[in-house]
Amino acid sequence: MTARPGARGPASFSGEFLKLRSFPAVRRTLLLGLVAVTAIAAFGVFQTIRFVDIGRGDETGGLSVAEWPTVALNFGAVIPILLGAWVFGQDTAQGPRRVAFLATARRVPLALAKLAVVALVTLLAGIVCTAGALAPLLLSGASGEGATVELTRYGWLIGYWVLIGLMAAGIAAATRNMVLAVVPLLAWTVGLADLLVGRFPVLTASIDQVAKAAYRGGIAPSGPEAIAVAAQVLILTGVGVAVFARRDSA
Amino acid sequence: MTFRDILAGEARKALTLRSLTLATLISTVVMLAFTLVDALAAVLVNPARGSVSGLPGIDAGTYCFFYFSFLPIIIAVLVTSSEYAGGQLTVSMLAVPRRGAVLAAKLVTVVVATLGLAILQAVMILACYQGMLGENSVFATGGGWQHLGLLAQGVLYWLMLGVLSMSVAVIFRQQTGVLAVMVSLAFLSTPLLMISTAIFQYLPANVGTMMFMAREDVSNIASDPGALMGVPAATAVTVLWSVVAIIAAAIVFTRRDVGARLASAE
Amino acid sequence: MIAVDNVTKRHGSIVSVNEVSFTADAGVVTGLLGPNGAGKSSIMRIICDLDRADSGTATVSGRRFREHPIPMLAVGAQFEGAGAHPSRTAIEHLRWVARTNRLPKHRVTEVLELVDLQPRDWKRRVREYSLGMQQRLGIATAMLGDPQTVIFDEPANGLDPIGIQWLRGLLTELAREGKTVLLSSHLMGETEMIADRVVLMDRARVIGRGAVADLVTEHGSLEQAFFSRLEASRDGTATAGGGQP
Repeated sequence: MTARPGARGPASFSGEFLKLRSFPAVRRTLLLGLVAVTAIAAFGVFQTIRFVDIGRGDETGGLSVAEWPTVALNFGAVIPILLGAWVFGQDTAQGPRRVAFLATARRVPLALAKLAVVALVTLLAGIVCTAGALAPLLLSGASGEGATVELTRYGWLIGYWVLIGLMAAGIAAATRNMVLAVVPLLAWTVGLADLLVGRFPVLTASIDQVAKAAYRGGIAPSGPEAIAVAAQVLILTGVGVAVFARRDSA
Repeated sequence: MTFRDILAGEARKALTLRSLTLATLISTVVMLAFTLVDALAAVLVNPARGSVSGLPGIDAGTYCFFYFSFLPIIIAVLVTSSEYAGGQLTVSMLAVPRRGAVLAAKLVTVVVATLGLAILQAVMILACYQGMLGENSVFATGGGWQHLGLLAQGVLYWLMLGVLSMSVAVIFRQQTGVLAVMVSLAFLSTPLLMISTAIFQYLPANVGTMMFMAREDVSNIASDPGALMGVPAATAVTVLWSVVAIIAAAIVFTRRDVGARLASAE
Repeated sequence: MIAVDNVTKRHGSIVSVNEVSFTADAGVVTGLLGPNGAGKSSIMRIICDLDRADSGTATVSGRRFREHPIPMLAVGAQFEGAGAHPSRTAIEHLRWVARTNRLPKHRVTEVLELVDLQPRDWKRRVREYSLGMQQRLGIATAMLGDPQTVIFDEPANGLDPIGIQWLRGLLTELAREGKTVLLSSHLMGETEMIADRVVLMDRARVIGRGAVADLVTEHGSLEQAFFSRLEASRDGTATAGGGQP
């Protein structure tokens, strides 16, 4: 550290990024996620086109071809959650954790470097998977009102992926437990929140509901909604960084 | 060494697994809190909500088996994947080299754990919804047996999820990945009915849900409601999924080398 | 007695054990000596039916490991540390193993005392154990059934000098009691002090074998003997060595 004063900032970021890149689960998650998202989008897009062509347009679940990429990417929420959790989760074993703490002795910069890696990786994953989900629609040659791609919506979606990746990372940093980092957040974002929001209207302010309204409904978050989302992300990442910085390595 | 001895060892393992105890406790609290609050809201605030299928209250609360379907998945994966932490599998195989017997004992453990949780959920539904409905409860209006039947189907669904999750965890020797896939499957299978009912209704989470959810609820999202299979067929497919999964797990588990220690989270 | 007869094991195109044969007799400590990747652990896992051999047989007291009615009463084995879930305590870990094998509860405390783990550590979680303590717990697990044959894979790993001295005494005592003791190691000096006989391995093959005393007399030290055989083997001039084991 003394010899390489720069290691506190960019170097620890590069180190964490390289570490994550060489973690097989990350490559597997990205690859399988991309394939699944693209496959679902392709299935939905081509099925919708076929159904409309043969006069069964009322059997498409009320979805237009242009909505299928966002439906597929909605399923893909598991990707940023896993990526975020793994950035901290790969160091949950005692050995790797000690090495990480020895490589960057100052915990807060290390935690921030990890969060920056989460942001970068989930951003890249979001862009790649969005491209994958849009490919079938663009290749299908579908045109007309129901086939227009609104790029703003995908901007919201990619931003949502980055934020839930950071939240998963915050939980993993605080708990050192992959199950706790992945399962509650995943269950919440992929289904539970949608099911419960009808009963508890206050849940419309939860991050996934605000994001879904933006990327699926095309409704930009209001000021209070944006504040609520920021608070959810900041609380989880803040607690994660604080616990990560204060706890012993043992 | 009898099967009972192997089972006793597996039971002791499960009882001393901290993460399993914690997950069971949290599950109980979450299930109880939701069931209580939702029953209060359904019965006191909007009594009409208890009537979905035409017969008053017949499926009241059964959707809890869908909402919390991730809980038996967690329990089953924790029981199974604990073998791969700290190299425990090596000791398990040294203690009992009959792998089929070990897997059978593990299956019984998972079934007991998920069955316990599912029965607890069923009892909570009965106590909270029907208890609060009082003289309007299904037992007073003649739909009691049908309601109990739906709850039993919900319990069967959780058992199937437990067996399936255990089998997938045995095959892939993974914790996080299996949990992510199974939880996603539990929640995201249903929307796939919008794409193709004829194909995606056979997904385990969909046939399982079709056993206890109101027909109208499933029909509303199906692209072709006419293609939906009936409850007996859905039950048969659910059982078939479980049997196929456990056979696949048994083939892999009994033939695979234990090999070097698999202790990493990944 | 452990008898390994012409065992071969492949992982895809990699041969991890290549036509290996040796015996380990009762009443002596037999060491499997070789560098990392020589195939020592692989052959031990095959003996314990953890891995399958592609060809050849490995038996303990004339039977395959899984054919013993209660294997832990016949064979005790330890591979890589404790083999315990990190969240369990030593007592909890040993109790489930004991229950599965119908061993009395008092046997758990007996083996914990045997491996010199302090009572205050018995109820600590395994994840809090040092490497040496995990190693001792692994040995305790192997000794639970008071087996006639013991197999230890790199048992000295992580042990401090006092621990190594204790291990040396334990293995010698077990052999003196007439038990069959097979251990693997890449530590030449340590093996020279502990083992009565050695099987030298390199690149999945047996490159030599013999009584430690004879090899030391012939070459000056076990290390010299090993490197002499290694050189001959890699030059293609070695025979697998004759005699026992």
